[in-house]
Amino acid sequence: MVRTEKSNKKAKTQKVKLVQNVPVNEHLNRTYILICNDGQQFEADGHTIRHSKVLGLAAKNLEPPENTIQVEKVKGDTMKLVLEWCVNHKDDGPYVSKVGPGLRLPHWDFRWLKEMNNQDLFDLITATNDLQIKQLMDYSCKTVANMAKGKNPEQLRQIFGILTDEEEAELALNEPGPSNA
Amino acid sequence: MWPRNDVQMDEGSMTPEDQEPEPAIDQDMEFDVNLEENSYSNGSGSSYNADKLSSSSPLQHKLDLSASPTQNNEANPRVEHLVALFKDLTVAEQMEAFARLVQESNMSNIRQMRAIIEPHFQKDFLSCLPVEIGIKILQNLNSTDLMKVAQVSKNWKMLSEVEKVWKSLEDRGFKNLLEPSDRTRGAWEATAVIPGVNIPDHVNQCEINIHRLVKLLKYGPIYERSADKSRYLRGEKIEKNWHSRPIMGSAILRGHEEHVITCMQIHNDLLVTGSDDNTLKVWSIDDGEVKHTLNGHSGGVWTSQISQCGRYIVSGSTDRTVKVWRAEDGFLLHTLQGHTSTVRCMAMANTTLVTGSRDCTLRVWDIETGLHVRTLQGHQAAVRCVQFDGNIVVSGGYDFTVKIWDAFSGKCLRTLIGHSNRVYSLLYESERSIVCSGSLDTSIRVWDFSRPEGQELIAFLSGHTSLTSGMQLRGNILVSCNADSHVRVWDIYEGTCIHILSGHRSAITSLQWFGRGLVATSSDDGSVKLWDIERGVLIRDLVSLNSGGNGGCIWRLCSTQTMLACAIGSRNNTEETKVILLDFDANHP
Repeated sequence: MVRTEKSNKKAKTQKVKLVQNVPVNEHLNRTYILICNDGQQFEADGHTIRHSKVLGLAAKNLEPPENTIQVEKVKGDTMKLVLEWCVNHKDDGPYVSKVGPGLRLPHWDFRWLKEMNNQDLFDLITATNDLQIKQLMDYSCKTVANMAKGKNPEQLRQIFGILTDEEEAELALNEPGPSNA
Repeated sequence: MWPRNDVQMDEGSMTPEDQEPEPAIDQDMEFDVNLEENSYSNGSGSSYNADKLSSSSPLQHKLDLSASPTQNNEANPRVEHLVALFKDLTVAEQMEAFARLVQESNMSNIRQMRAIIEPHFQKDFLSCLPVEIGIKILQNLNSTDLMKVAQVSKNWKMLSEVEKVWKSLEDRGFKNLLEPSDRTRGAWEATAVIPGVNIPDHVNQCEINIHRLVKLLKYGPIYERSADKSRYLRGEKIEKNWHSRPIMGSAILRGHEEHVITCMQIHNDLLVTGSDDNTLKVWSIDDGEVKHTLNGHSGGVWTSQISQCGRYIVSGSTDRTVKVWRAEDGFLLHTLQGHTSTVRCMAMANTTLVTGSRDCTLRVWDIETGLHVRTLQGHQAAVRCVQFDGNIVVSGGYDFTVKIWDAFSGKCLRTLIGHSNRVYSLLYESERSIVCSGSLDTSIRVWDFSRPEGQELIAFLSGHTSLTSGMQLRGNILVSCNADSHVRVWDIYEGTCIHILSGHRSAITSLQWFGRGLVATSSDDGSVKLWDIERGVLIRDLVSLNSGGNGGCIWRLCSTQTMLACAIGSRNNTEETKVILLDFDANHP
């Protein structure tokens, strides 16, 4: 299980004391094995996973030769996508978060996200949230927003599969049990 | 069984569908299509909606590709055979096969296929993701798209009206607005539509009455739900009102008959006009009527100011005095004596006043006590214009120089030399120590007096062919209006002219800059024009006088974010002296 932020911080302050004589970014060069909730495993090095705040911290807390990280919240197929993005951004410099018209996606990201089907994109966003990858989150949100740009309400309902309020009421009458929306 | 499609069939053969019983689910779909056409007020003709209701799990977005509406546990050998053949094909052949299969399928099967495929392409992101992510997505949209989002469903509406989303929108320059105004009583009732005055986009009388009714609701339903959205939309509406919508309210304030209005100031609801009839008038904008006439000067009033707190009105006159009046009731508080010639210009910060005179001096006064603080000596000719930020005084004179003074020590800190003729107008931006001076030598000089002495000049803007009557500065963009009838837009750091706006046929008398790129100018040609200085084009004429060109002219403009005041008259009695007010306000939706 990936440790929560809080427990990571605690662990970090304790562990830092122990490994004081190791260079700070040494963990970036090591290779890790990520185990997803459906059992799928992936190999990735520190540079690749550093974009994820959660994975990065988990990696820092591992004492060699330990190198497995359990990623309970993410399933294998989605992890594959996340890593695909991370590998592509391995060598990126620091990222400044932006929202709105000022945010421009790089070419590769734009195409990659645009061609993704909505289910995968949804899973990707959820995983990005859990793994705390700021840059990918900004880009994904922008991609979803772009789907909505310049559309009228009816088109928006079609694109995102929304029921009108009347339809939902109708549904609530016909089907017992809580509705998803 | 009759075939359902109008497909020509070979004699004697029966298509597979003829042999199958009609699936129950199909009947439901047919039924629902009819139902859907009648009952949903914001539904569409799309048959998709019907499918959602009839398929087994419309709200489950988890896609299970192996599931189908008619799944059973035993593999159908004929189907397996087909699938095996299919798998053998190349990707391109598979696509061709799909296309053919779709052609051969009936509508109900196609609809079922669509129900399987569609979740691949549809996901209600906003409702299914955590709220912070939903907000993050929405922050990428503009106000128009956000309004559309609000119409999609209750959930989407709630999310789209969250404060954070509207607060992070790009601001259009109309913010920190005052309460929506009344402007329906007094002179507003009669409007400014009179013979001789053209307000081309003025709305007609019956629509005005509707507009006045609408005006009563100052805070609409959106404000109840989301104040930030409402405020933003109000700002947008006000900008549209200025830019292109019909003018919904106007008024004429009559006074100073047969005389010239020499100066005009606005402070919240107060409009103050000064005239060469020796008086000033204090008007209430909202009520559309005069409140007080300030009598006392024995010479024409050529300059005036309203204090920051709004409690004091100050006037300077050819009678060489300065008078301080109480704004509330027009009572004369002090008469400041000392100048030995006309008091031509003044500037005020808090309750410290600086006056400039034809007697070549400037004087610093405290208007609460009426005491004279200091005299600033140094100019060799009349002082024509002055600016003051509370500490530093900037003055321009007929001796061709601009001087920088410390108000309280009285010391002249710099003398900016360079103009080759009289200095007529000044602009001072305290934060950057920048001064812009307009001169009869036709140039505009931009100075930065935080630089070493002698090196203050940072730009020499030439291009105009006459006297610059008004300037406004924001960032590195300077807008100037000139007696040569042009408006010029400059970059003070590049020292270049970005746009030249032509259209007026005579000297431009004043300019006002509001919003992001809207500038209004008034001219001796009797018109008020509205310009877009970002694109460098004329937007429209707001006012034009029939007597324009014959004597009717617009002397001065004064504006707030929601109102424009135009001081109008003539020197030959072709146009009576008046102030026309135009209302651009909007309520909170």
